Amino acid sequence: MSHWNSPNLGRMMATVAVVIGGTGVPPVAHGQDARATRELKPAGEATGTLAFRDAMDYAQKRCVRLYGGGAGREHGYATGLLVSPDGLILTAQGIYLGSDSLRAVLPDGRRFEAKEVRRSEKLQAALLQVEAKTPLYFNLADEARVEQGDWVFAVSNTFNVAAANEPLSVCLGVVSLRAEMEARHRKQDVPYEGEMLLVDAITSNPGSPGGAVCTLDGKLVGMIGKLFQSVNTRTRINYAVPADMLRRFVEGKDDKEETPPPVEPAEPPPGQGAYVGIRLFKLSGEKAPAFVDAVAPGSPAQAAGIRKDDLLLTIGQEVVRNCRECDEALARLRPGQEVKVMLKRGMTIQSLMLTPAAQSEKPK
Amino acid sequence: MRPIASILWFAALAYAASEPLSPEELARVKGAEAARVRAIESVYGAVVAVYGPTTDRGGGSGVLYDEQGFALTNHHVVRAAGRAGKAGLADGSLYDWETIGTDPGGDVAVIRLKGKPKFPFAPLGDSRAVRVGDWAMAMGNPFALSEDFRPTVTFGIVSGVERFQPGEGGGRTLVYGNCIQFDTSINPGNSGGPLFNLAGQVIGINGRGSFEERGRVNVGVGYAISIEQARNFLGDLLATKVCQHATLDATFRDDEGKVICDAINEDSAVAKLGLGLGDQLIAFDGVRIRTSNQYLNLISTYPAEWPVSVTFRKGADERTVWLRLRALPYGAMPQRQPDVRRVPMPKDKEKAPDPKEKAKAPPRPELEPGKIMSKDLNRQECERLLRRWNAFRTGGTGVPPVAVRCEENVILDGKVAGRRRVLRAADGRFRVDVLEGYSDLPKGYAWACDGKVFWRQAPGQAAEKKSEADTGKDSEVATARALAAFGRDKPLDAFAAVELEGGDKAQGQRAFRLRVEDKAGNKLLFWFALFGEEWPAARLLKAAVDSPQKGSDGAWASGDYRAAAGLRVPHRTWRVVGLEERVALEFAVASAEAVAKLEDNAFAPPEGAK
Repeated sequence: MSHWNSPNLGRMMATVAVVIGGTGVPPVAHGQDARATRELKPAGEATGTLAFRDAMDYAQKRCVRLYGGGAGREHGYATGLLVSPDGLILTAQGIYLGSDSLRAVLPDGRRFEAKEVRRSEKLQAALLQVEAKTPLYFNLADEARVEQGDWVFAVSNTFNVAAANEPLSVCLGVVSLRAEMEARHRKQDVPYEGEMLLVDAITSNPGSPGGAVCTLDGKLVGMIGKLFQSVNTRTRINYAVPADMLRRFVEGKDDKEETPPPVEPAEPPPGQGAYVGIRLFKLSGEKAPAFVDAVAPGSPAQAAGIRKDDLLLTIGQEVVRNCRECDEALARLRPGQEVKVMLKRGMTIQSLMLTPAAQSEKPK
Repeated sequence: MRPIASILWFAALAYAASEPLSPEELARVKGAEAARVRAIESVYGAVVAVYGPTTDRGGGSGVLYDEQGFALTNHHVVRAAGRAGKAGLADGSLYDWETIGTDPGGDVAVIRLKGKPKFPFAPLGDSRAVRVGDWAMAMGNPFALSEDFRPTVTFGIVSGVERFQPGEGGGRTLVYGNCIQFDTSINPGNSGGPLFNLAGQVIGINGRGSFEERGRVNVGVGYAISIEQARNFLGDLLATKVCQHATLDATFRDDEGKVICDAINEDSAVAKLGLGLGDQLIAFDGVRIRTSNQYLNLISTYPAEWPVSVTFRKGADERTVWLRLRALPYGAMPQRQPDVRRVPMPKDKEKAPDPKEKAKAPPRPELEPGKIMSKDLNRQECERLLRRWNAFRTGGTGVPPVAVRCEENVILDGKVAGRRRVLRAADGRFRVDVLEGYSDLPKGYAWACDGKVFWRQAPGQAAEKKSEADTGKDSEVATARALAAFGRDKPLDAFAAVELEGGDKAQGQRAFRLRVEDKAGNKLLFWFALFGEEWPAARLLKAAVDSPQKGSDGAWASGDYRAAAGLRVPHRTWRVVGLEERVALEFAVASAEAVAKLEDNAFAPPEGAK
């Protein structure tokens, strides 16, 4: 996906300039509770970093520190996100979860025993419960979406630096990439499956997993994921699990998608494949980027909203780097089976749902 | 600082993107970027690459804060490099440096570069104003990579403030208390280098990071010693001391939102003043204490012997006591080679290590906690201090007048209680006439010193005279003489001994404490402001006769300096008692004039004096 440009860079940069420049930032309403809403004040004139600090303060007050048992070089501490007023906490999987006593320290210094509710293998995440009322939490229904080049900051218990009721550590970076990962039966170093946000802030430190990744106005965009290290190079990636996937997991919708395990679809017999209704621009050859040359009227592609000149990026779980890969991916589609298509239109990345029709429905 | 402008710099990246900014936005972005570049340029020359005797054995960083070549760095950099070495600046030149003072406990050291009349330097900022989310620039020499000594600049944000990082091996050396945590990239070699705010002011000294299994390269978690802490220790450092940190001889824990004393040394000053087990700590040195962590952070940044107030609650009774903090013993000083390592270069592999090379390693400073390391350097610092005091006193305009005559109101309990006239000559002679009586001094009472004889006279009675031998024993005379001697060309020659004792507090400010012993054997203490509006000019804050109480048994404080009679004259002086400097008596100058010519008998004892 290296050919991706930075679609929203210009606009987002301008937004950043305005946000932390302190002009015209509206109060951001997070969660339903009035207290939460009041906390984020509009930046006063010429106060500069105030909005920035407020956003960090907002996020710091919604993250908890988790302590369980460590083993060897595996650290027994992590971070968690408060995601409900009645004590639901999201975190990443790690050795600390295996402990008999898992404790959560809330931002106000209160300590609670945490019970595991359930896990997601796909996201390598876990949902915990503490018996605490917390008016301050991240409302997952209110998550923000970010694209490559957007500024984000991360809040986490990195290296367990923050003690007692000290605020957690904050670091700043940009979204480097949104990428689709495939666990592929453990062929990769990353057993994570699904879309991930790569960031250039260093979030792959001990204690960071489960931390918040937020926009500069404090909206949650993701959770720092479980630590992964390349077996060969010992390097780590800094990434976050996107908030929409977290929401599905908390709502319990995620697990159903997980089973049955994905099976590589067999190549359908010629003529029995699905009908989509696009023609790619192939004058530069099969290895040219998959630009749409034409969309057939009344076709599933048109119904999905695909237009001429769109650059197709992913079809379903597959990244399509050129026309050939795109054709192959399209050929594997099945009639009636809805897939997500990501494409670049102008300077924006869009995600559409496409339901291919049967070849028989192709207009003559 | 121009927060808005300063912050917008990165939006300049948008210049290259396709959706254009409005012309106003673009102008702000470019303006902010230009301001940032200017701020970096303004301090770039002040950043030091610190090496040992040679530049090929790795090194650390530092920052010049004074045009005379004084630079802050880490103790662990100096410990590795030895007592002296080479230092590279952005001008591409190498200079010699030597250690002035070092603080093993707080990992700060002061070195002095030589070889240039005026060095570029960076202003020191206020680390108390630093907040999470502020921009933070680090400069230094990571991996000792710079061949021409020009520093590397990195940029990030403040990740945390008031952090505590325990000492080396859990001990009492290299403790980072109340430090600044940031995600700005620092790496081996950055040690001792400055952390700047966007205005180009030094807010911290970079010295360590969290690494654990991640290897000794930046993983986004660096720490800087707050410049507040460095300021606290600067007096001791410039006195060439091996600094010691403070202890209250008591520890505290959190208990239901209260900070409770859970251990105390019964022989300590604070125990004798009433603090006991179970008492609640309310405030330390005027700072309200909310957690035991906050207290630990705070006291970690205090030098031994500093006067502080401690407020605690014992039952229903809340009281504030004053005491001097004791020195926290270091225990055995670690001799491990510290964290400045040679960066492996490809050519290193070709060259077999020479076993003799280790033997040739530079001698490390011998560390005797609390001791002055170099009497010569200490004396040089005394000279420098008195030069700065003179520059301050004369306003840099040169020759002071022959004498100054002041009329002063005497204030007791906040009310004008009397009036007096004081004539002070530049050579130390003085005369005081009571114009309106106060305390037990009636109108017409007078006393003076003509340089040889001290006399005093009550109205209607014969004057009483002291012999020359006894003259100097009067503290007022001795102080006047010492101050007059400070104004001479070679001030130190007038004294039998002069020593910068180190840092202390006077009038609630950080101060140098200078001890002089005149040739009559009088021992006096003088406190000069370490910082302040006129920095680096030194203002006299306090004077006292030396005693084990170090001024708390009575001292003269002076302040409210104003230009008068061609000098800067303190318009207020106070007789202060106790560590809290309780005012017993106050003099407020109502008028001051220069005296061009003194009459011959201006200070002479009256006829018939005995």
